Amino acid sequence: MNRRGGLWRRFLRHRSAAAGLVVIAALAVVAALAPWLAPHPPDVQNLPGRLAPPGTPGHPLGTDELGRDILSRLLYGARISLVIGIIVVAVAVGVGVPAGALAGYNPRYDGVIMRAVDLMLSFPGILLALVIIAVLGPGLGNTMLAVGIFSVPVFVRITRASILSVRELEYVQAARAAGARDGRILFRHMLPNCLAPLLVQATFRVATSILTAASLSFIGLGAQPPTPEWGAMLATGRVNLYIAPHVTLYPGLAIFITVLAFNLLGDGLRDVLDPRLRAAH
Amino acid sequence: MLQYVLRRVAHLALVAAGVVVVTFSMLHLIPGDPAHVIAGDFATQESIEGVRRRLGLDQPLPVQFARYVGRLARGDLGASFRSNVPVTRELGLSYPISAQLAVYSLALATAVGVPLGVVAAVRRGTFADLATMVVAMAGLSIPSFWLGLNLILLFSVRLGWLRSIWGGAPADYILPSVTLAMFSLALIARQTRSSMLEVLTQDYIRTARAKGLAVRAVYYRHALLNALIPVLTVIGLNFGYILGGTVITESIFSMRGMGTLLVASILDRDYPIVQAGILVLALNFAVINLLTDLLYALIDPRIRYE
Amino acid sequence: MTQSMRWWTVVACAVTVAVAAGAAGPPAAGAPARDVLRLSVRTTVVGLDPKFETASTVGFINSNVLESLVTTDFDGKTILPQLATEWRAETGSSWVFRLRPNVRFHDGTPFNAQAVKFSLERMADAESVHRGDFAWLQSVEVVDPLTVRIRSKFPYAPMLSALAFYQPYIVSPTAVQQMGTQFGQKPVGTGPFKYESHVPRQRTIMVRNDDYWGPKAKVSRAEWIIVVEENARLAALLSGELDILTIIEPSIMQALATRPQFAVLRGPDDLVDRVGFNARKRPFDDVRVRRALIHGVNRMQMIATIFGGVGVAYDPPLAPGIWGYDPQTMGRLSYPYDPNKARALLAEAGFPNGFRTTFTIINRPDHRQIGEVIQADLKQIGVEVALRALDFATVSQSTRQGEHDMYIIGTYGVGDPDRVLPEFESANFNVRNRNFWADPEVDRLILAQRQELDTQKRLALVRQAAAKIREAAPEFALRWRRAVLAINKDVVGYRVHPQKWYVRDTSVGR
Repeated sequence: MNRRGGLWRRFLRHRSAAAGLVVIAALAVVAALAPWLAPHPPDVQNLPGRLAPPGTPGHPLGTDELGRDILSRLLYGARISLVIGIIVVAVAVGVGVPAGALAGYNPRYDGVIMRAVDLMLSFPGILLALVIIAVLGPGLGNTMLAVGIFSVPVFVRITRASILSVRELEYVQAARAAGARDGRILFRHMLPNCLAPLLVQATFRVATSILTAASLSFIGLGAQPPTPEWGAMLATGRVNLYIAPHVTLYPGLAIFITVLAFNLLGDGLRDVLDPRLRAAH
Repeated sequence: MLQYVLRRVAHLALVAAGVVVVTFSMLHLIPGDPAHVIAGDFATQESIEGVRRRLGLDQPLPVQFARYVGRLARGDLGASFRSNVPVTRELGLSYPISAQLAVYSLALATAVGVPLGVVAAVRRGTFADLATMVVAMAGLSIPSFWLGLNLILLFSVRLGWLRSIWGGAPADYILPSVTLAMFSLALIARQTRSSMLEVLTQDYIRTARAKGLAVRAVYYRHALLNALIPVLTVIGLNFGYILGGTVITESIFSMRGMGTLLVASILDRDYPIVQAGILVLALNFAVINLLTDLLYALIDPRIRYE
Repeated sequence: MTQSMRWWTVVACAVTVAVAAGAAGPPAAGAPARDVLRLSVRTTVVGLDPKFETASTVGFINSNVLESLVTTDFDGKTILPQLATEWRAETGSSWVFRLRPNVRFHDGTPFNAQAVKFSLERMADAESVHRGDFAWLQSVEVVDPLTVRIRSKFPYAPMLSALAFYQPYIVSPTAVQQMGTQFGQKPVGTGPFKYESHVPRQRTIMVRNDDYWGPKAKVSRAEWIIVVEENARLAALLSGELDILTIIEPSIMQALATRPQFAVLRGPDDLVDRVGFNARKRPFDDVRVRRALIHGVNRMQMIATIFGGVGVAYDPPLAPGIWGYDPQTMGRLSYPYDPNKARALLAEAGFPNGFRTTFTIINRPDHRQIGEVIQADLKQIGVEVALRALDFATVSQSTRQGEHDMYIIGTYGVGDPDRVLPEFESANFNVRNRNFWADPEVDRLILAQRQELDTQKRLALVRQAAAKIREAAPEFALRWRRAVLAINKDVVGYRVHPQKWYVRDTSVGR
């Protein structure tokens, strides 16, 4: 309890991390309250009023190429981006951590799992995602899956390394000698040890995933219209960049700020949880 | 050492074989028949069958795979389904563009990122440290497609300083290199900072300082050189990443690099190009990893590979 | 310590400047030589061999280098002589063409009847992707070196139009034999330009053919540069790196409106935006549902807004640029925007609360935008549309197999009606008929017009078929497009053609 309090205080003293957390909390609130905060529904079009500049009455950030309210779409988009970040990381952790634990704990599987990881890493990331989406069909769900799959290797490696570092430690040996089953040893004694590096990496990965998913939406493979995903908003506004720069400006800023917040949070967590980890990532 | 290199090369061959199998299988899992793309939307069934026969797509998959591997073993990458252009020419046109882009953007990222990282480390905890790291984080967080578009808008449309369409001139690499450098710059700056910090706290640096060596010499000769080793990994990894992951930057700046070539070929179901291209990128990645590891051993005599 | 840091900062700056300067090299945006025309193309060009390419862009670019027996005027309809000087029908299925004398291919070999036979048979052989378009071709006979006889399997009224299309170009047999599979990288024809170099997916360069049989090209060089990014094209036009932008978005028109140095050219276009229903699937098998959905889409507003005022809505099958279109009877839309009527029709058909369906589009910004607007419009009449944005390969295969509900079609807007009528024949199910709608009487009319050589009689048959199709409404058209190009006003003499990008008579002024 005492130690935890110390961590928390250290974390709050970490100015940039605290800032990141505040932004993320704000985003979460915005996402949750989007229907109440947004001045308009996100999909309602008004073609005659398209590409209205920021400051137009009723549309503080202007309207897009179909006359939809950009502010409202941004607010709804916050939901999508946060969900993307969380689900992608959940997929990656859900596959990567068990695989990494298995590889680290049981040398029999180590070779196979690590070769598979090498193979995955050697595929160029965004192309791998593209091929996966081509196989499964475009859509937000498949995009999250594809981005999740190519984030798996990082988690395998981290988990395996942490497990390896404690495998021969006394307390694990003691548990084994006491006749504890493998599963119990792994979950009760070894995995908790990986939590800090996993938490740090997961935070960074949320950031990367939001960015990657936005890139995929930008080339038309992510969120399907009319979903107000920020990358997709950028993609459709792109053609009007010259005559209506605001249509791309705000989603771009939204992506930037959100990703930055997660990155700052991850950086702070790393400093606080384990100073030795600074060299990682 | 030689044994280590041999083992790594064998490992590399294994990965290459894996890439060949996985790429082939995944390509054939994608719905959409190459013959439909080539024969066009309005083609008759007969035209489609004709194209399929011409390309050998009428054969069972195992036969197609065996033929592909057989050709590969003879060093024959085949020709594009779409255009009959030899795959070596298609890749030969694209690879140098992507490679140059990677070199320039990494040079830029290193030239700016390392000094930033050193400043942050040496002045740890000061405002300079915070500012540097926030800047680095910003680089890591900015969507490259957004940055690229805005660079065009600013430098090509509004100011008219730089050309917006790629013509192969050195100046044409400036905007795309800057766009791509942001991400690597951030990683390099952060890596430099943390490994500098680690080195600075080590005994031999303290000793050197205690011995009264000039501060500057301590930083440069001892600390920086050692700190650079992990930075090398970041640079190496990013080289692979940029070669394969620049689809968007390439398309925004109309460059026919590996990214645009492969994406177009995936959409066209141009199997020969995709297969060869992914293999080249994967080997590239593996070789660079190997070289970085070996370079480690050269720079740091403490590292020995059995 | 401070000093050392200052030193580092200096190094960092110096390196940055050096990198930037080293990369700067020759001055950017160099003033283009005035004897060169630079055009930008938005779609990727890989190969140029007409036998293996279906992309219209390839045919458009080729039109400067390769020629066909006949071509069309700038309306895309009127047939003009090109490599043939005159022609006559011996019978309904046998035509004789007199060829232009003293014409040589770019490789120096003579153009003659043998080359015509070779080229047309090549387009129709088993490997050709256009085999289906030449299903009518019986034989090409060499009568004498400058006369050919073309026989069709049945009386074929649209033959001249088929020969004037941007695919059946006459190529040098010698070059084809010598170059083999690489012919597509540098096709050899008889046109006012000859290919100099072609970098697939990047640029295609052609130079003037000084031995051309007709008026020589005004510029010595034309460069076709692939630029996909619309903003990059705009920047390049503004800075003078490009002279002509082919096919532009409304946003570029708007951006150029205030700049006197640039102009927007318009002309008839071969492109349309049509939306088809899969009439084999419920509920689209009910004509009332089809009509209701057409009444539910506000086409006029789409044209005025997202299409930038470019194009006119029409009732398929005949776009206003197609022969047989009659402004008197077809000028008024049969199913204008009327959401109340749409709801009434839906209710009558048994869908008072609408229904759910899908709209298959190609994953392109323009299709997505169209999809989103139609989705919003149809929501107003209770129809919930889910967009299926897929890549071209998947869309093509999936619509061919009839897996779709609604889908989007991009051609044709000019020329002979038989270019579009096959889409309404039952014989073309799973090939060109993706509405899966057919009618025995329409089948009969289409076949009859195809074989009717008497113009007046054919016109009547075409219009009868068109009226029946309009009534059954298996599809609707958002608009017949206008070809819109942006040019630098230094460019003189460029005329918009719906099927060719002729630059022979174009020069760059000053």
